[in-house]
Amino acid sequence: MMMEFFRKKTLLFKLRAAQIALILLVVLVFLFLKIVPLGSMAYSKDYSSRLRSGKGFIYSFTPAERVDEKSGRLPRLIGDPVYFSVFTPRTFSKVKMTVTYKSQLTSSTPIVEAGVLADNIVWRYDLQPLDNKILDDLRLPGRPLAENGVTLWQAENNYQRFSDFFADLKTNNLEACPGSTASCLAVYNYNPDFNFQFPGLKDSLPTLLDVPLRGAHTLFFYINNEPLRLDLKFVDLNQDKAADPLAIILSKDGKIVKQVSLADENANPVGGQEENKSLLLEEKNLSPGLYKVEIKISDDTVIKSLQSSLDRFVFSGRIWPVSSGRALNIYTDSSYLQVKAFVPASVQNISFDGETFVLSEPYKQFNFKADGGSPVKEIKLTKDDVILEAGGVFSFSKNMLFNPLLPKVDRFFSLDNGVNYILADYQAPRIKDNTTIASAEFNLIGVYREKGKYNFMISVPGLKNDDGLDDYLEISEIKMEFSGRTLWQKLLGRGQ
Amino acid sequence: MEKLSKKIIARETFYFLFWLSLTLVFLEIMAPNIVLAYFNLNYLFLALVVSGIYSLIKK
Repeated sequence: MMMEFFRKKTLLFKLRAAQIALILLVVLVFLFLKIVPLGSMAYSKDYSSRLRSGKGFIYSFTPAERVDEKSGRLPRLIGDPVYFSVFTPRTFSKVKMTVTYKSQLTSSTPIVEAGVLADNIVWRYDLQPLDNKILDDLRLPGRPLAENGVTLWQAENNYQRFSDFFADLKTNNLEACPGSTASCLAVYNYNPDFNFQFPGLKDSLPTLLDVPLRGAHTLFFYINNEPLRLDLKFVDLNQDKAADPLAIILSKDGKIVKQVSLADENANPVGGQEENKSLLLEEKNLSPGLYKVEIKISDDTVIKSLQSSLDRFVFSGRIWPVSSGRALNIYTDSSYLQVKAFVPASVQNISFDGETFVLSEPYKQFNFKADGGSPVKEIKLTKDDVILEAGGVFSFSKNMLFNPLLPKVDRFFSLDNGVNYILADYQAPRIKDNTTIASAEFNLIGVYREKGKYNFMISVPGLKNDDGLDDYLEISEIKMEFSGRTLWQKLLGRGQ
Repeated sequence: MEKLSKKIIARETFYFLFWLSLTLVFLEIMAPNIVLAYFNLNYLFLALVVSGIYSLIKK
């Protein structure tokens, strides 16, 4: 009947009907691409191809000074880290990133990682390994064990099964490990079930830390059947117009025990008008063990003071003292420091484990390595507003310094330190014709997304654009394979 | 067999490109980036202008 209807019509009518059908088909195609009804979609950018019909989904690398796009046809990453965003027409629950690149890195930059911006308040990226040359080239006499993507390298054939290793690890009783577990086991991208034992446990006293600290900080407390009371005073500097919420999260073994937060109610602050705030976290019935306290604040907020019922705590990874107006002594167990002067007035000579290092420029990260072998190293600052980062911990008290974490296989790692075991959740990349193809997977549920874009980074710790070395990472392709709920699951309210 | 004159083909091409452009712009406004990520609309606008001029010439 339809065919009969069309047969009687003029050619012009048929042409117009075909045009309308074609436009409707185009609309349906774009709706399909927007909704992604099957739940999976891949977007890629081939940097060697000059043909590009649209804007694409994977945007350019930033900042420009860390990317060299003039020396060759392909972009070269010459600094660390480098960011890029990916537009998606809808949200997804996970993504597999595959990066194809040629490496022109040195032995001082053995690690390549990728990350997704998980939290935009504290600017935290969820990092995953792409390539770790230290592990790729690792040759220990013992037979490595591998299970579910996790590999155990061992200096001797002490273990034949993972279950035996983990059982001994849980009781801090590893074979051929006379000292503490941290002295003979190193980890990479993996947090095993490990019970930290505080050495020489004594009664803890209340303490007041009145050195102002800027931005997010992470602390570890060791609690021995004691209540915990943390009273923090903050100053919201309001130097930027963004909201500055506050949160303190107390967790143990990855599970949140208690969380307190304070939203920023001043939606339109006058620039530079400071606001004083406070937060109290109190918890009485805490089982003995190691607890993590995350103070989640933006860099526009300063922790003016921290009153704690316990003095048995350390700062992990990073510390940023500001505005104290006095010289500071800070202690660390790390043999290297990454230091950045935040303002020109913070340029100074720094004493680190008795050696003097020159922090000669602001806004630039310097790496300082202490050659002395002392377990506790003193850092002497004559001026504050300096960001200190290390793979270990920091404390304002020499006697209270303890490191509850296992050493990491980072770019400063050395097997000479007596490590007998290395445990890593890591897959070596494929190498074909001098080109590396490396993948990493990320969970996208709850990560930050703005204007339809996810934010990613590629990090090569130690890679600098101003060190005079011709080292870089030349990217030829990035492929992002997103997956999430199908249309059917969304309509039925299933999945995530 | 019925045939269409060049004048009509030119006119109908212009009409088609016009409505296609309008539809894609509307799609782009409702779902930003969904068209531009795949296809640069400037090429379509250029084709629309060229077909419009050609249609006027044929008229």
